[in-house]
Amino acid sequence: MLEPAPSAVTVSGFSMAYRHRVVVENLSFGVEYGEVFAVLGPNGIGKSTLLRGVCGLRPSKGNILIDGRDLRTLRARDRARKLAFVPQTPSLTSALPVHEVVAHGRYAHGARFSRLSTDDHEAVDRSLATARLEHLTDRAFTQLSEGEKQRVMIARALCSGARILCLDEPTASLDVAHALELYHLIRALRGSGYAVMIVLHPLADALRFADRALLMSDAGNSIGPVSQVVLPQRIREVYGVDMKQNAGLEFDLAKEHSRCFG
Amino acid sequence: MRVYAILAGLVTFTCVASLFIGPGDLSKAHLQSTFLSLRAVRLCAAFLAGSALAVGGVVVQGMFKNPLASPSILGTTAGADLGGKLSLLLFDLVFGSTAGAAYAVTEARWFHAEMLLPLGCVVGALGALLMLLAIRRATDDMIVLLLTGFLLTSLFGSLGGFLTSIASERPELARAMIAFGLGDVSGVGLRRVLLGVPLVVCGIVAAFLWSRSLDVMLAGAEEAEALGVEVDQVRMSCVVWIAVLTAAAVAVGGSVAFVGLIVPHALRPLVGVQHRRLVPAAAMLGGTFLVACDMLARTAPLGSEIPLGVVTGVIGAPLFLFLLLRSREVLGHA
Repeated sequence: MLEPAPSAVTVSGFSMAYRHRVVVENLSFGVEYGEVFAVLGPNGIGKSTLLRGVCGLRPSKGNILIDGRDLRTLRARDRARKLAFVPQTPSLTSALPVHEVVAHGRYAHGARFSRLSTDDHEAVDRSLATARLEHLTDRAFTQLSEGEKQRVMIARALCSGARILCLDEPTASLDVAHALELYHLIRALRGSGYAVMIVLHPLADALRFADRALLMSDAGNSIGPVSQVVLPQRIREVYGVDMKQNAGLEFDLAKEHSRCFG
Repeated sequence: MRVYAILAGLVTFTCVASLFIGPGDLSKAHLQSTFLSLRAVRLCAAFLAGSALAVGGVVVQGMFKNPLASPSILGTTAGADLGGKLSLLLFDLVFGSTAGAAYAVTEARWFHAEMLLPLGCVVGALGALLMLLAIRRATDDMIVLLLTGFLLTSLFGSLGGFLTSIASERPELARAMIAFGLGDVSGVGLRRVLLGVPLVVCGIVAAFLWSRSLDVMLAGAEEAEALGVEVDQVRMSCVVWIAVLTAAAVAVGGSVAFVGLIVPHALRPLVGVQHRRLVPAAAMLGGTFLVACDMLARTAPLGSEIPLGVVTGVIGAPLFLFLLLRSREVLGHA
């Protein structure tokens, strides 16, 4: 009998601290391929720190398995081929052309000193097309809008060939139309079998676009299907707001999307 | 490609001009070859030092992700200068007073002060860069980094001044130290140039090979690590190459400031920010710039030759101020 395929990400007994504060303690969860896993919680609770910890970019304790392999035993190059990290705000301030930035995703492929191969160029073109950036390929990264920059970051992540995407509040600086476009891209990637771990603030977006969620709070974390985690009572406990009252103020995202994109 | 062709033309023109312009009458057949060979050595020294400093500047700016960084701004040049002076002093103490004349060693020894000089410069530059990296680990603040560079420059400058004052009782050693500190290619011998060639070539080739990693590092350490860059490993490699390049430049041309800052800035609008394009262009323009400065230094109508470091300083300081004011956004003041 065939063994079941390992989860994309398996975290167990995971603890980490940041700036002398314990962010998470003894946390366990898994992210499967073909799933969008949202990390929710109030400001400052440590969502982004947790995401960085899971990506191996911050020190942590406990086990992190990527495709069944211990993340900490992987070299940076091997890790980058399995798992891609997309920051909330890109740190790049140099005027590199868009295709060059996307090609950085191929760094972990091939030799460090070699130039891009034909495969690399094809991967760059595919990623630009998926993120609908073909018209911006020669534009300097610094000349792009925040939304375009975020799409370049997604394209760079796709170009890496990693099947696990870790996105840190990718819609934070986007208007509603671009945010919806990005969510639909994420859903399409999920449909293609990608595992997506995403830090989010808008609960309505999580309810619509995520499959499962981790809700972080000082009182304790909840993990499960998003509809069972984002519950009025729990939201009141964590955020101190009434979900019903708040819901009235939310956009009808589906209607908004059809208005923007036909 | 057009930019590289223009740069190649500029290199050729400046080098040829440097051979034929300067004090000394080339029309006298018996002096012609002497003048030309002296100028050729001097030209090579200036070109090597300029190339090394400019490429060093490109790597420093890429590594620290800061367009205002350069070996001279971050104290690396001063560190190499201090290391070089220490090596001169050490050689003088070990081998006797005549050895202090590092600029005119004529005795047939198996070991010359000129050989120890590049080593001292490498150690000094490495020490300065490692101190800077340690501070960089504690804080990412660019202002702190730049101020630390100024601090290190002052510290090493003071220590270098102290060494020069110790050497004042030995005129040859003192003269060598002063000329070395001011930046000067007038007294450089062929041996020192030949010692500098492998260091500069190695440094430039390494910088070119590391260009892809440096490009990815422009996205910051965290993103670079996520993209598969072994950040600490790349940083340490770059530290070594910067130290080698700066040390070679200082050993050949003395303490020459601002080349590593100005040249990469001048080139970015022309060739872009990718390191594989910047490195060869910087090698060409940096060398050309310093050869041109040296021509200015020896032809200025002031009665005597101006030290090379003074010429680059006079040109570089106002230019640096201009860049600093224009780059307030980079420093977070906008």
